[in-house]
Amino acid sequence: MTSMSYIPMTKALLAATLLSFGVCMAAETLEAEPITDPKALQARGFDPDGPPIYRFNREPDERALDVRIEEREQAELQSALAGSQSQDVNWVSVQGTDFQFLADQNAYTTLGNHTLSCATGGTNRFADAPVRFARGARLRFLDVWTLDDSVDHNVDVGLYQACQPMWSGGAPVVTELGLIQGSGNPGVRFQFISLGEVLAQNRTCTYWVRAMFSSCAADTSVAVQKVRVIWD
Amino acid sequence: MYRLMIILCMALAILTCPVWGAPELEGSRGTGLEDREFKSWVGMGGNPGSSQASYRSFGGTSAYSCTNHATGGDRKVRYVFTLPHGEVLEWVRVWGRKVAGTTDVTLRMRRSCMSQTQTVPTTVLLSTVLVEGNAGEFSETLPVNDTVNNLDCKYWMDVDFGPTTEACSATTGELAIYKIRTQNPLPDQIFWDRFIVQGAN
Repeated sequence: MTSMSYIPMTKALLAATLLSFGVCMAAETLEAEPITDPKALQARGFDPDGPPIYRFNREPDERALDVRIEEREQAELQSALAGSQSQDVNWVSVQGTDFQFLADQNAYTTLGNHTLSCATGGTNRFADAPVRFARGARLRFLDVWTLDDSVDHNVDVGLYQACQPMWSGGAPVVTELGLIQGSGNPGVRFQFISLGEVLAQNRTCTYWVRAMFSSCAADTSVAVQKVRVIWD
Repeated sequence: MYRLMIILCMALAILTCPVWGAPELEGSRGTGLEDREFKSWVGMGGNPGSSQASYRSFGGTSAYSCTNHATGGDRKVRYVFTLPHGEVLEWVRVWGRKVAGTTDVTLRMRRSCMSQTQTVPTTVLLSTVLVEGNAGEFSETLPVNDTVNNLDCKYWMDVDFGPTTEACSATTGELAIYKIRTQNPLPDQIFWDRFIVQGAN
């Protein structure tokens, strides 16, 4: 074989290699915008000097809550009438001691009814609860029930995804799938957001819900009662 | 020159797409992904062995970092698994971080069984791996190959951050567990993707 016959073989191998490289890299490409502001990272319990996390750039739904709830109920009714609703479990809920504060011996209470509050004297305002989804789940809604009797303090709740290489070590790449922010002192409240039909990637990613209390001084006047994720 | 290009290209492909050599692919069909189910737990999804375990979450990624920076305390954290009954738990893979100067980490996969007529559980060590030295961002596999029996048994992983006679780490994040993932085959299905079998987990 002359040296000239190496050229087509080399081109073919080079193309195949680059394709393999591209496929591998494409599998880890995030279609989301980075959050790099240190204050925004710190407010979410991330290292302000650490790597960015990502979030999907969605238009917020400004419609009234009761309008959006009505829309969901109608959609579920239509699905049930059409017989297209799956009989399998398509939700996961977390409450109370499903959460764990991000530092040991942090003061907290579940008030005996499986809610979660950061207690006075607590030094860490963030608590995580792992959640798992069915294979192939298309995440639809993040539902949050809270109590907020505090004028000065609130609690935010977010759903996060951390992904790593399939077969090797590597630092996690985090995406914020959804965030519900508390405000005012509405008492007991239900809020939800659409997750935009994100597909769960159980092979490479893990998921958790994070409760973010603005201050532990609020004690039991601010509580996360329940968080639920729905998929189809 | 061309031989060198070929070698460099192949090396680049192998380094950037490390699917080759992953032991979990053994026995699976096709590309090795569609006929398997994966469940994952973040590091903070574990249960510290006691209130003497010192930990911090690391980097906001819900990783569990051992912060017993002195002797004493509890170095154990447990991850309790809920797995599909009757399926074979094939592998458990653990992702973590370990820098130089930290204690070695022992990963132990355990099963404890007790039937309705028994009064004392029988606990078995199914698999174990030791993570040593300056592993960096690591990922270790534990072969299990045990058929899940949820009627009588419970499954969990013990992560042991070394002996209490020395500090496990000097600062937060030097020694951490990012996530744990279990793998089991799926029952035969007509369609591998997005076809939900009645009653499946």
